[in-house]
Amino acid sequence: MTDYRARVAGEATERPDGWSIEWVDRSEGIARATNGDASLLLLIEGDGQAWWVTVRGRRVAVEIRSWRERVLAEAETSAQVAGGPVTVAATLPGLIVAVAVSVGDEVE
Amino acid sequence: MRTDSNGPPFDRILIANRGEIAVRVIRACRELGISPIAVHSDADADSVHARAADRSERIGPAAAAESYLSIEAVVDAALRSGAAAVHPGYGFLSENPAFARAVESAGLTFIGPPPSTLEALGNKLAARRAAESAGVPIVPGTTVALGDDTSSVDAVGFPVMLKAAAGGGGRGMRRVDAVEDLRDAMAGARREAEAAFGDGTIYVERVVQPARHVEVQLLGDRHGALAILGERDCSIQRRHQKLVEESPSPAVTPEVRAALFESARRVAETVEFHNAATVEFLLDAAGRHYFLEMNTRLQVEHGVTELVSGLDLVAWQIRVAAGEALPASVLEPSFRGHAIEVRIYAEDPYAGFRPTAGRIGAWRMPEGPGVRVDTATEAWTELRTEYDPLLAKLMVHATDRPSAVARLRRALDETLVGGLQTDAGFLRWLTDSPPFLTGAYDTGFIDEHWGRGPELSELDRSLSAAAGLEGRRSQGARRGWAEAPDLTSAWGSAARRDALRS
Repeated sequence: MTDYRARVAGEATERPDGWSIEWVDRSEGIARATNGDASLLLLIEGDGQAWWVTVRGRRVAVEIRSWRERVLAEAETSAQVAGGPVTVAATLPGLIVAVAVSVGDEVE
Repeated sequence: MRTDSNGPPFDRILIANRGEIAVRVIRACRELGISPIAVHSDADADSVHARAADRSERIGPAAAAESYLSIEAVVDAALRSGAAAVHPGYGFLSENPAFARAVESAGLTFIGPPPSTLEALGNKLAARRAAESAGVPIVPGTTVALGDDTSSVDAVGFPVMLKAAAGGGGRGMRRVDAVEDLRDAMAGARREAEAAFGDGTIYVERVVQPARHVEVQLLGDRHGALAILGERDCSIQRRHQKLVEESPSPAVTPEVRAALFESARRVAETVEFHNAATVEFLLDAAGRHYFLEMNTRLQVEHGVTELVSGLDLVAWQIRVAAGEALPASVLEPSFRGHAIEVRIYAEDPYAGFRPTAGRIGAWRMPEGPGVRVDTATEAWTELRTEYDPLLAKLMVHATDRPSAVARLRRALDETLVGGLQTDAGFLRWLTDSPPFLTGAYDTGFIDEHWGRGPELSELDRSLSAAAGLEGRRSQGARRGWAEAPDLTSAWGSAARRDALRS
């Protein structure tokens, strides 16, 4: 299973202990958070890395990234900061059978 | 106008407005057996209100100045449609005496007070003078236009509020705390008033603080009868515009209520009055009331009065416009329980209630006992920035105030609006706020207690994270068997619904 991580307002945020999320109407993005004693409706909207969750009327931006997206984002940040070589990690272990780039190629 | 006492008051009415108030009037028309005719700008051709009517007349391009504010276009539409009367709703041309005259000159009935009344009370300075002459207390200040000589402002005493004589809706208003800020504030208020109303006349009132904003609903017939239909408390405001209204007011004692009603009656008696109007007052901490203005139209918050009185104010506007006399059940209604209205606006309460724009996503309004929603908003539609950002009015009614607040809290928990930030988070917070729970709030409530809102709680932050993770995980799972469209797309939503049906 993909290792997704969430950031809310720029801060890494974990799931709350004891709460679960279940869909009420997936086609509309309506879900329910419950901890067995209490529950509340949520609205979940988004795609890819950018999500918005409406909780108690407040619409909160949530960034969800996979391990691969986090690695690429960190690499991009390092490149912007250092302006030098970037280490690119493979998302899965395996054997490299070809390298499609060579020294001097432009990377955008 | 009515010719057969058993038939509808009019055969056909044109509603010179849009959005939720147009839908509200359309519903009243249908219940009275009247054919409702809508008007629409190009931007509203496929809107809810245009579709709700029997037919809709195009009145111009999206810009309100060339459509909903065009007297000629609206009167032409009324004549084209064969309407016998025009209901102006609120805002737009509803308090414009030239419009009321144009409607009547075209041989149609204007569903509202007479044009002379709109004229007399539309000018806030003239209204202040009329109220004062009727023995009604007014907010200390000037009763003549403020000129370059500012000695009258010194006499009033700071802080003061500069106000536009032709004003309303908070435009042309400036609070001034010290004499050195007066000149700039006067220039700004005049500019804004000139731009908004075509009249830069301003006057000055002393700031009454703390104060409650309490208003009295009036309904008069053409035979001289006047019904006083209780008060509404509208003290929770941002930028001098109301967000929450309730009836009865938690701040009004029976003695204060009697004094407010008497003052409202006196103000109405200064003019020839029939149909619906509201007299607005400030109430200070000692329970003294001061006349603010009289709005000669239906108010946005009229539903609160309807819930506690059991009366259909829009229907009665139409019936008295047709000449019907108010019966005893309206002149002396029995009030029941407590009602609260909250306005759901496309505004970001975490950014100073700044307007938000975009496409409405999911749209789920509450239901159940004692809940009423007046709206013309639909899911997956673009929000029009040309018009008012009001998305819905959510009203609740219960046996007493604590029960009404509990019902409002429940209703807001069921409310989900996607696509953009709304003020629903503020409203939900309000229902747990101690000053609101006890009814001990005033017009400074939002500045004092909300500001830019509380930080997101740890629980809500982590629930948001969990929900976002579930959204993405679920999207990925579905993409295992098919490329699922994104959850923000209207086409995507339709496709998902189709897929669920098949």
